[in-house]
Amino acid sequence: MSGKNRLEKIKSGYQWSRHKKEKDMKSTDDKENQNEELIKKVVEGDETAFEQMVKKYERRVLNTIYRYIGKSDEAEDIAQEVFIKVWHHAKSFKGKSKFSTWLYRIVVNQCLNYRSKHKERLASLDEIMEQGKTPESLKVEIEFERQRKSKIIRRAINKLPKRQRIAFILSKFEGKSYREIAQIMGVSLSSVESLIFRARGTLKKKLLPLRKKGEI
Amino acid sequence: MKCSRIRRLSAFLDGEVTEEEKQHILEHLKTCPDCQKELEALHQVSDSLDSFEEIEPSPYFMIHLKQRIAEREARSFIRFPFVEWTRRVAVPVGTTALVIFSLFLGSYLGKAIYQVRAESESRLNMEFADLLCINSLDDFSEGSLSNVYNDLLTGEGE
Repeated sequence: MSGKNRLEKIKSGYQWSRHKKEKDMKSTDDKENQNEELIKKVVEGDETAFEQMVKKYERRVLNTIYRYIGKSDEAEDIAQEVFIKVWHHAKSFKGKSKFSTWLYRIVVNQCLNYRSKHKERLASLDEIMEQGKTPESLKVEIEFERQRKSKIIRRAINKLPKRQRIAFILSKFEGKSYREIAQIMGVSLSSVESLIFRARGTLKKKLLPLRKKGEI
Repeated sequence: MKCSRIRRLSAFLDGEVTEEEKQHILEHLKTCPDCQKELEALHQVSDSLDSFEEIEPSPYFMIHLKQRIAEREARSFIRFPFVEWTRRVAVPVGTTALVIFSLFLGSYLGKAIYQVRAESESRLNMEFADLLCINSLDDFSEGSLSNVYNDLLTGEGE
């Protein structure tokens, strides 16, 4: 790819990224109004409102935690703990920040306090192959490949220091702005930028060589 | 030596720079091969990370969550009577009792201190009287010099 073409691609990539963030910001105002109504009902002990709130956020919360700790079974456990805290401490949400900021603050605290209970047992190649040769072998191979790449990325992200890891996950996978991440983590904007910059640097060193070899 | 602007490329990639800075960076990228390479590398890493799978919550997520909430509330309900009794009854009653006790103690101590002071003052007066031989003047007749002296000392006859 020529330098000019690469630059055009980068420009369009940037524009898309900014546009997406601006579009997300406009739609969040409506979402926040709905969230405020929901949380008011949760404070009053409305279980239906609580269920609606959980349904709305369970996937995002679960995946943030999963990407942080790399273990699906424990991630679900921790995600439930987050929602238990929301249920019991809903009264402490004063509406000074967005509800999602408050919620993710709980998620981040749970992640930063996380200590692994047990070693995850990942499916081995043999086990995946045992699932069937033909006619399922293609599916098995695709699944194996997907798991293998995911494992490599998971390991690379797990090597990041805690705060870099959570800041990067919130930015890259949850689409949070730096400002929002700063509010969630209780740090300055420049700290967020620094954390994400360092995280990217580390991931670049680990993943780029593998990408060049075609392993991811 | 790497370009000093490389550090801003991460924020640029995330759309976290101002419009003005974005234009500066884009201009800079036209002529800086280091930054071009770096941004390309960051893009590739970003693309690789898209392979990181998402997981779905289990279909029993809500059921398990409700069970855990119910269990926690049941545990706190068992503790509730003792904790609440302490908070609602023992503390106010104890505080009131302490205040009343303090008042009585203060009153008793006040009386005791007053009594001790009164006795002490009386003893002092007697010693003072002995010192000035006032008591020996009690028997002197009316109008005598000793009697006048006695009146002057005691303030009687004014």
